[in-house]
Amino acid sequence: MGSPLLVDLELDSISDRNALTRFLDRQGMILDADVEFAAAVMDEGEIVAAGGFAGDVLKGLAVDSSRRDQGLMAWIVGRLKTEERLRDRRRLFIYTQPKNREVFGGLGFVPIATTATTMLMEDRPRAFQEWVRSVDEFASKRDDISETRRTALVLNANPFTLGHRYLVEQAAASSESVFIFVVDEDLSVFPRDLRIRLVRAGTEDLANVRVVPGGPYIISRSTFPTYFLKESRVINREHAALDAEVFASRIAPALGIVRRMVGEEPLCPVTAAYNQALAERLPRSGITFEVVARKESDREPISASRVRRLAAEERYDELQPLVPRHTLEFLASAEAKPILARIRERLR
Amino acid sequence: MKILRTAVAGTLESSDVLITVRNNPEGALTLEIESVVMKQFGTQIRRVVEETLAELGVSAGIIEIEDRGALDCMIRARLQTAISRAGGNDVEPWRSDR
Repeated sequence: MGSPLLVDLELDSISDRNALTRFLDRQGMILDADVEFAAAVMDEGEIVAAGGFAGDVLKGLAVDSSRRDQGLMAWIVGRLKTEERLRDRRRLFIYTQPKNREVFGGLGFVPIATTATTMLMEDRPRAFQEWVRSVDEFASKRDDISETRRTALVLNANPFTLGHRYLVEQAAASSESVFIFVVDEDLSVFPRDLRIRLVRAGTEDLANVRVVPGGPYIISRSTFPTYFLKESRVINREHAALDAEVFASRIAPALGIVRRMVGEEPLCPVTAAYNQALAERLPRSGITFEVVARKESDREPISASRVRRLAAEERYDELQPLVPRHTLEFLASAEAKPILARIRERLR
Repeated sequence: MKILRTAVAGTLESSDVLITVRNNPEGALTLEIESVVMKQFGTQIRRVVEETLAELGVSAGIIEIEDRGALDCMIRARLQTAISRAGGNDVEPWRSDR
């Protein structure tokens, strides 16, 4: 055994990439295509430990079986953390097998949720509680949150349509209060703050509805990476199950949520599979799961993609029966021009 | 000394500490401390950090401490390094502790 050395790998270099791929292959792992940075511990020219990250998710972390219990994982995670901090990412996530809880626990990670096969951990022990307080400042003070009977909706609202509005009305009419979580990840053509603004404007007449950012725990790139690769039509069942687990075991009890409603999804296979994961998991925690049939216009379901197509062509007359007043006003405004141009680009 | 940009010093190894310092646009000084020995030494760690920041004349920034049981001198050294790295080119190179 020589003296091990911690190095950054050049992912653009074929030899480094091959060496990392071969090492991970020996550990029964693969190198995800989106890994943007990787580091390794080398000993006598061989990788004996490695890890990398994509965004704020650490990936491909492994130590060779002959070199366990030598603190090599701390080297790797320390290096990755340093690099992430320099990129101003303050909170990191790891997907790992439940048996690795101790290894990462010792490096400052705490579990968020665990399914039979996968555990999601993050490196800021107080982060979840802080998020709960940011959504509902009374949640942690209330003596018995279980007395609260809220309904939750999760919308991307890209942009907010009368189809969404219909779902919200159904929820508001049949429950004490409604939380709308707007998906936080900024990968949609309508930017996050705008999506939230239009949902707020389009629901402000409903007194028992509250619109909040979905944050990192609901369909974010961290908790559900494959959701944002919809085009590939691939869904990772693990990620869907884990997202459902986070909602059922952490979010619902913390915020007094007893029901989750979703719009029926006849079109998108990824969302349909996600709804299936929710349908399987939520009832086990006593959470009612309800699928609401889509509102139609001209015998066609109102969908955000239909709205985007019409908006791109600036067919405002046809948009009128599909979107609330605020959304229509926005789509016709000068502020919307660059967004409509981007949609045209994507449709091409 | 001013924190102009994000800087990191230290490691996550046992008996060390990983310190991140960043510019705080709101101008306040914020400390976030996590430690494996928080219950026993949390107050002590906070005091060492506050003293060191005062000595360096740092009055604004976000300071994140991820402690793995580092001794006081280690915390002080890592913090000094992080702060000098965050200071840009107008900072003199570090010479000696005292």
